[in-house]
Amino acid sequence: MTAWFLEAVHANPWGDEFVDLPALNASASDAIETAIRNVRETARTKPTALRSTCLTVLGPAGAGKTHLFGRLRARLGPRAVFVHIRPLVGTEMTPRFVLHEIVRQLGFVSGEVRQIDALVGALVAHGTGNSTGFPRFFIEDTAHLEPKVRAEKLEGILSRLLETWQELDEGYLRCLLAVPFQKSPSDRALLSWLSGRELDAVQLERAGATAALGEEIVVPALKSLAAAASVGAPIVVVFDQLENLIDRERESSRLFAYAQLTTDLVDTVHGLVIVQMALDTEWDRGIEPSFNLAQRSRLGMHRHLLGLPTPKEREDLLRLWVDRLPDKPQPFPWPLGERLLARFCGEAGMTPRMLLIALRQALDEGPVVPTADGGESDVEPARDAMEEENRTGDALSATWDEYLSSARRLLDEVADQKRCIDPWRLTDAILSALRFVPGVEPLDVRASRPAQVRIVRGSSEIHVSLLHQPHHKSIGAALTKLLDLARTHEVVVVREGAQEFPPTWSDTIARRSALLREPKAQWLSLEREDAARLLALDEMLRAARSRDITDHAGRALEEDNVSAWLRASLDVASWTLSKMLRGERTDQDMTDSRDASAPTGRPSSGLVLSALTRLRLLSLDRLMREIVRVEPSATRASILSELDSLSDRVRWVGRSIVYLREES
Amino acid sequence: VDPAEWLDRARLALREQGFVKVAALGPKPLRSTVIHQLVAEGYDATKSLVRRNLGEQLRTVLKNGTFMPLKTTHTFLVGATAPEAKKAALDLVRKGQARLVLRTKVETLVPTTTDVVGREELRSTREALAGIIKHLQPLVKPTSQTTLLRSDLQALMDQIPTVKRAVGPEQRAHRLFAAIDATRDERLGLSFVPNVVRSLAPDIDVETAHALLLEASRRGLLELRPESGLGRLSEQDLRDCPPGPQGTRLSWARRLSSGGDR
Repeated sequence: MTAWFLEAVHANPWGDEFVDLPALNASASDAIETAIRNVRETARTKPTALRSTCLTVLGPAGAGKTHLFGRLRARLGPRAVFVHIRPLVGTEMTPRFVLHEIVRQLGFVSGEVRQIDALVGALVAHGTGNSTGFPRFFIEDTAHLEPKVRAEKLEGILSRLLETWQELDEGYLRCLLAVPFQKSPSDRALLSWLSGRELDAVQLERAGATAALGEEIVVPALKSLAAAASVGAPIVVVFDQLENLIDRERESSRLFAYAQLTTDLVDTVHGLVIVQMALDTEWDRGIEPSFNLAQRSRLGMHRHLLGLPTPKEREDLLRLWVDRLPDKPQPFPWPLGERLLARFCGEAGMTPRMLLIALRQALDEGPVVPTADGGESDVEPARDAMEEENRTGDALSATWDEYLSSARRLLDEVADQKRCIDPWRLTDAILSALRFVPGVEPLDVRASRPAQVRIVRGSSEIHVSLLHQPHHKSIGAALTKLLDLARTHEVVVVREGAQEFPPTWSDTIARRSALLREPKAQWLSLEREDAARLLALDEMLRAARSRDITDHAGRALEEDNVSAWLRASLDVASWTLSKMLRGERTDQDMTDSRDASAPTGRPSSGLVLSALTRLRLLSLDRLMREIVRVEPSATRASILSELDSLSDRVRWVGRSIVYLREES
Repeated sequence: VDPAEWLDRARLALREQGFVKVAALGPKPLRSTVIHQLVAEGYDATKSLVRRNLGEQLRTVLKNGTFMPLKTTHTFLVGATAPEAKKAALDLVRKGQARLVLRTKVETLVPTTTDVVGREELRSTREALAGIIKHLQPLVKPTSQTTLLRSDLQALMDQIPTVKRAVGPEQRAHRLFAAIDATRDERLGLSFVPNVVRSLAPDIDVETAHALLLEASRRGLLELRPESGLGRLSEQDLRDCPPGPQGTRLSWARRLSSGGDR
């Protein structure tokens, strides 16, 4: 017997389903709600006095920090815009990253309304003197207007915003207001542009822009977003799992950089509600001591320590969960029994997560039966140490599979959007992998360099470039810089295999060939499965740091134990990227490293014909996606080669549409 | 013939008397169903009766501060024979939920919050006394004409570890909260349990300190929180923290204003 929430031992900030006991830690959620209300009121009544607020929520693992995010989303619905950020650990977080996350999550649905619609709808409602509680109505109402009338209405709202806050960026706001009224996929392109992401030529055209958002626009964009949202649906930025920023192995500036970023947000961007969440004991021992006085005074404004549930709250929580179980053979306290219920309610140190795990165990193993001789059988039966180890290993293996599946889903999502994984995520993932690769040490990371990551192998320095750009011009510029670099240093260029250059990018391909003629340059076409493993490893290590990885009995595992299992089970040193960074020969070296102009991937074994037979007419990109889903090792070159071999049956429209000729 | 009705009767008897005879659990065909359900609810079943769990009964008696001679433990319980009661009592001691002390020549079960002499203290006292006896042995022989300077005898007696004065339960609770207040990190609002335990030593040993902490938590005066830091506890810290649920250690304490109030 299962219910979805029993599997949700770790809160999903964007989960649709939600079980909540409002009384538990009500003071923390009330404080955040009050801060949101204050920002809204100030924006409406004293706009010049508008400031950002910073609250800190601390608690042990499993106390319900991330759950608070879900509770506030459920309680406030479209009356606030929620942004959940887990910190970057390899790269320092920048205003551009925060802007990217805010705008990316504007596309998420919260309270049955897309957050961008909530923001703009509330703004329209406020601008026309109405209540901001039903933003979707105002979006639909405005969408039905004649384009000219709608444009005038939005211009009026924009003018009023600019009269109130002169420092806002007019162009950025105009685009922001237009998003809900654009048809898909133009709205997605526009949101991508607003997030500061680089776009390819087609997306740029859809967004009506000629270039990506410049660096100089980032802070004004943040100011504009925060101020515009503050009158209706203020933006709540939650930095969760900040303990991941602590680096105990080496001197690191990332905590200071984080503090500087949030201090700058508090000082210069007005109208944000910033919520920091971390393990209580790490905040005072590892996080706050890294801040200077100015940072402490701004970031430690309001601190809330999450309490553990009282015996009454524990019983209520258990009752709430049990009530939601399907097919209950008996009423509560089934499946626990009176005695186990009393024990769980009375035992010191029980967090909500521990209670959920205990309930899950009781459901899996049946109610605890006391023995007739007065002994307590609720003590775990003594098991062989080897058996315990095996069961923990199985649990870790299952967890790894979950992270791997999640990474694959993400990769499919970004492949559908025809873009690479965000470079900061891949940077973090590579740095995480390097922890398991002997002989290679990360040196530093700088996002602004063409080769973002520098690593040291023995006495030599290797520059690793994550070539993530979607636009051929940006790629061309990066390749030119990398060519210069490769004349003096070892360079490894990583590009996702799913985003191979199309054959029409002859200039880009020529530049890549020129780069690869340099003896110190190497090219890694990062295949889907390799990328998935890197991302999964990074996610699992972060979760381990936050004590979110549990063994078969639901007990939180130490970070060191998880790392040891990963080291023993995954053989990260043999992954393609690791081999290349260690200077070993990889499979790709044998096939395409020195023949970049015509890379030869593994054969796609008749899959091309099968896909064409099924879909008849499709773009080359779509065909690639179809093949790669089935055969991750397939590359564009291998697919083109197979298409060539089918020249008697395949016809082309231009150079990008392909179809199967009808057989006579 | 309704098992639910017999179950209700049995529950009532168990609440009022603490046990119910198997023969009183309804007609024979029903009994196994009723017993099974009662066992699932946490009661003990023997061949002839169903009773409240013995460990639970013992804990209730100890909670009231009662001292029980081990031999007569069964007289404090219902539905238990003397060997069953003794076994349950020793189980409780093994789990650290009660203490066994020797009073004159009688082994006695006492609550964990009782001020008892720690094992280390017992060992060092015994060693010091053995040393003194060994020193005095030749002097007390009938043939011996040797004696000691009084000041030397005093010096020998000073080798015995200071016998700590017995501290009453209220005094101990008072000292516990004083230690929690003294070690509290004002910004975080939490006290680090190893620091609390160390500040109570040597008058209150680690085991008693743990018992006091858990008792205060049970009474809703204190919140004990599991350690979730990044491997920051030393071996000594781990020993000084009481064990928590699911393999955790309770390393932080927070005073609650009253009865679970935050």
